Amino acid sequence: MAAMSPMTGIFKRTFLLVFCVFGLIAAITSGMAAYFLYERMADEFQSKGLAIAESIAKGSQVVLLTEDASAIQSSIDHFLGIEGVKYIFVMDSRNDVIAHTFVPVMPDALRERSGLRRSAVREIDVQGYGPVMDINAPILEGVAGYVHVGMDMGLLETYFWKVFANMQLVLLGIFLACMVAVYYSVQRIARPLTELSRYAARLAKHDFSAEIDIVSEDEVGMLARTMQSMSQELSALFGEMNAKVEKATEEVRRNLSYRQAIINNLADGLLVTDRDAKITLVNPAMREYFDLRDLECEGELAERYFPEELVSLVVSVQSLKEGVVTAEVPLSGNRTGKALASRIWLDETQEKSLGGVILVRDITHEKALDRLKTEFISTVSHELRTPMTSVLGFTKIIRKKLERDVFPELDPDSEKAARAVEQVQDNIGIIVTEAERLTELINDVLDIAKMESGKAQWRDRLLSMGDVAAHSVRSVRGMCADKGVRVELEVEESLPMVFGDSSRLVQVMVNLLSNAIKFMDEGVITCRVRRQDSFVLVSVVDQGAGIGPDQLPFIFEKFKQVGDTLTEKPQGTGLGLPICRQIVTRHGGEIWAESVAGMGSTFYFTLPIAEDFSENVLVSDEKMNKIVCEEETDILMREGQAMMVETGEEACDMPPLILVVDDDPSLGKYLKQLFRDAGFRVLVAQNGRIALSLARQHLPSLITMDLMMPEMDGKAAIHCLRSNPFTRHIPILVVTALSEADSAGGDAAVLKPVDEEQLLETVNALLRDHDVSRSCIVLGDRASYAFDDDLTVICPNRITFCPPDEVWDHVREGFRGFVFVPSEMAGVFDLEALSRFSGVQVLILPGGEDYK
Amino acid sequence: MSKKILIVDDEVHIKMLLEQTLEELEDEFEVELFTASDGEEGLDFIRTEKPDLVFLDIMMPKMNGYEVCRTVMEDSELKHIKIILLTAKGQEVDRKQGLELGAKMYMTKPFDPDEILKVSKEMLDL
Repeated sequence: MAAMSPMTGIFKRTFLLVFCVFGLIAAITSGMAAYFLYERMADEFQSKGLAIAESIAKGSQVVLLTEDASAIQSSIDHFLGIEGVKYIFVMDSRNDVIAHTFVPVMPDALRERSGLRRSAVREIDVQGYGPVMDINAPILEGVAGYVHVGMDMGLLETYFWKVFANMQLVLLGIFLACMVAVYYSVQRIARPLTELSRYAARLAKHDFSAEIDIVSEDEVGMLARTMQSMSQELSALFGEMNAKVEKATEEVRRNLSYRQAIINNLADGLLVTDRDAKITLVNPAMREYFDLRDLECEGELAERYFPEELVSLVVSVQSLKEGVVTAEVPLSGNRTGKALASRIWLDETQEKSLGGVILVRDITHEKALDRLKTEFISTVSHELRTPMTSVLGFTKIIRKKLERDVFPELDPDSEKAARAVEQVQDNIGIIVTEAERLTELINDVLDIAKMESGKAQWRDRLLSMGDVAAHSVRSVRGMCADKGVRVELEVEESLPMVFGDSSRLVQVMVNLLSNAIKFMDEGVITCRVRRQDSFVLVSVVDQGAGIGPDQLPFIFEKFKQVGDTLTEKPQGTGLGLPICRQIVTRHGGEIWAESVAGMGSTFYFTLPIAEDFSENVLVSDEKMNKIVCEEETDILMREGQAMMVETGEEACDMPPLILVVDDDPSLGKYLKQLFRDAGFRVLVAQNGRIALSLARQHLPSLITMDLMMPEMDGKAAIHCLRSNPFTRHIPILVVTALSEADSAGGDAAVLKPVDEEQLLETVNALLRDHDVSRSCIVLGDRASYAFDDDLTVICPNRITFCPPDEVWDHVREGFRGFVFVPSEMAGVFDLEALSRFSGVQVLILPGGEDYK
Repeated sequence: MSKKILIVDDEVHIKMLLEQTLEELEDEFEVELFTASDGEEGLDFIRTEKPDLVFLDIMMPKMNGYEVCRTVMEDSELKHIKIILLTAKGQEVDRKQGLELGAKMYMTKPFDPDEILKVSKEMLDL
């Protein structure tokens, strides 16, 4: 019956209801029937009693009159046997009971005289006899007395109950029979319903193979058939859907395996990391590069499996906003790889990235090729320069000897000899000029080869294009003087800084200016430097012959020169502008020219403003409340200092700047106070990333570095500082609670809690060691030094250029440091007197190729 | 006492060029010129004769200019000798390396004979 359970509920309730209704009906019916019977019998009793009483009354007249009691007694006893008669008694006219059927005595309640002339009926309750219907019939209209007949009402009640009970019994029997019948009929309806519900349950479990064997034509049958057809439709629908899902799944699987196959077959190594620098994907090439084989490294920290160079890339990519970062990484088997890291963004609006993607390519072969190329360039350079030396050198010696020893010996009157002398002088002049041009060409070719191969060395730093332009204009002044050409320089005020190699940028400007001068006989060349959007725009406007539109597109190509090379003598190597383009492109700028033939031409080039290094970084960082900065004046002073270094106006006597890097604000404050009291200028950064930008921007004399910091820890920061040529020299003092501080790559380490004396001593020692960076003066005009690269390495941020006579003023004012004297000045300058000043060291700078 | 200038170069022409250039000093001042054709020969000469000024080529057989320069600078008796490195190599590394080794100057080929004369005069205090 378990399957019937849904039916039993209904059945039980129905049963209960039917039972109650039926019970009520039965009770009412039997009650009513019994009642009507009762009423009927009561009437019958009454008429019966009346008949008896009257018959006695009529028959007793004589007896009463004779007062023969015994005769009366016998006649009434005779009636007692009739059903329902309870008692009979006769009274005389004096109300004396003459005869009665009571045993033993007549109850007193019946003794009163009614005095009625006619028969009367009343219902009374007689003690000991229960309810009785007393019928009173007068004898001779009451003259002779009364006959009382008592009918037993109790008997009627017994009948009533008997009938009621019997009826109930019969009805119950009928009811039960009905229930059995109902039960079976319900069963008959319930079975198909149960079947249906089972069927529905199987359908719900997507079992469309289920069969249902209901064949009846009734509603249940209809329902069953509907359900069956529904299930068939569902089954078809499901089948279709399943097919679609399977198809889609198959497609997804195929796509996935296609992508997986791509990743697995990538010739480059691929590493994907999440935001916590944990590995999420490594492809086979990557495993091969780093000897990981079948190691399960997914989910582990990248630093467990990969070298430092790659890990720092993984770390630095986290703070990358756009673009890529690259690094060279060592691979297994002494190979070298180039790693390229970018961030994963799900979509551009998202704040946080999903991690980083790092591609590693084996560049061992390329490096070898590169080395070969470099060696080739070096060899060619040697092999070309050596014969050029002989050609040029001997020619000059010949010219000298001829002019000094031979020509004076000739006959001054010989016209022939004079002509020969003139010719020889001309010829030698041509040999010298051509040889010099050839040398220049070799130099240019080597220059552009170096740049194209990426071998050129760049000394990038913050600089002002105004200064570069000024130097360049100064250095072409000699060329102008010969020709009556004037150069005017217009530099916009408060020009933003750019980031680049000053000597190379001077090379570009000098090239453009000398080109302009070359093609002009007289007039004004205007050089403008101004800001345009996020670039600094430099323009050189000449009033020369201009460039025809047919030639304009090709002027930046190698060995292209304006003009007819067959008729006009080429001036220069044809590599000047391509070199300019190389340099400008390398700086992230553009170079182009506009010209109208006969009206002069204008050369433009742009350089991106050094946003990362400008005040923007400081401002945004301050907004983030991450840098604890000193008073505004300090910042201004520092910036003034930076400007001074750049413009090289005068030597700077400011106290050394210390950059304190610590994420604990209170410790940062403490160190700041400590260093300030010790007479230093202080800048505080709260993590490695900020430290990097501040260090690049302000080039501090020393950095104290905490190791455990958010965003970028000390170790990564030191690594970055060391790999940047501009911050590499800055001594780093590690201040940390960790005992393995020495391994972090700093120059020295101090353990927390900090011992003030020890800290200051270490700082001073580090600063002394790097004293060479304190100050240095270079004699002469900066523009004449195309080679200040070496100096920027030796004295990274304190170079002052000054004319020889001003040096004495500086020295007398107490300058301490290095004075670099170019070798060609060494003879004309009183070195001995200079070196007598205490604290002043004099160094002769080699000249050589730089004054070619 | 006459001053000694040594020219060390494996290229005959360069040697000749330098010799002819410096002959002028020989005539004018008390200067003696010597030549050597490779690094070893040059070093032997420097050890025995202790010249005042050496023009030293870098790329040479047997012993290159850097080695010669280093050996000379490490020898306390020879340290005072002024060395001018001459080479066609014009790359940064070379220049730095040369100066770090203690050479007084670094001249790249091709050079101007007048420049050589001028420099020599300065170096020899003539």
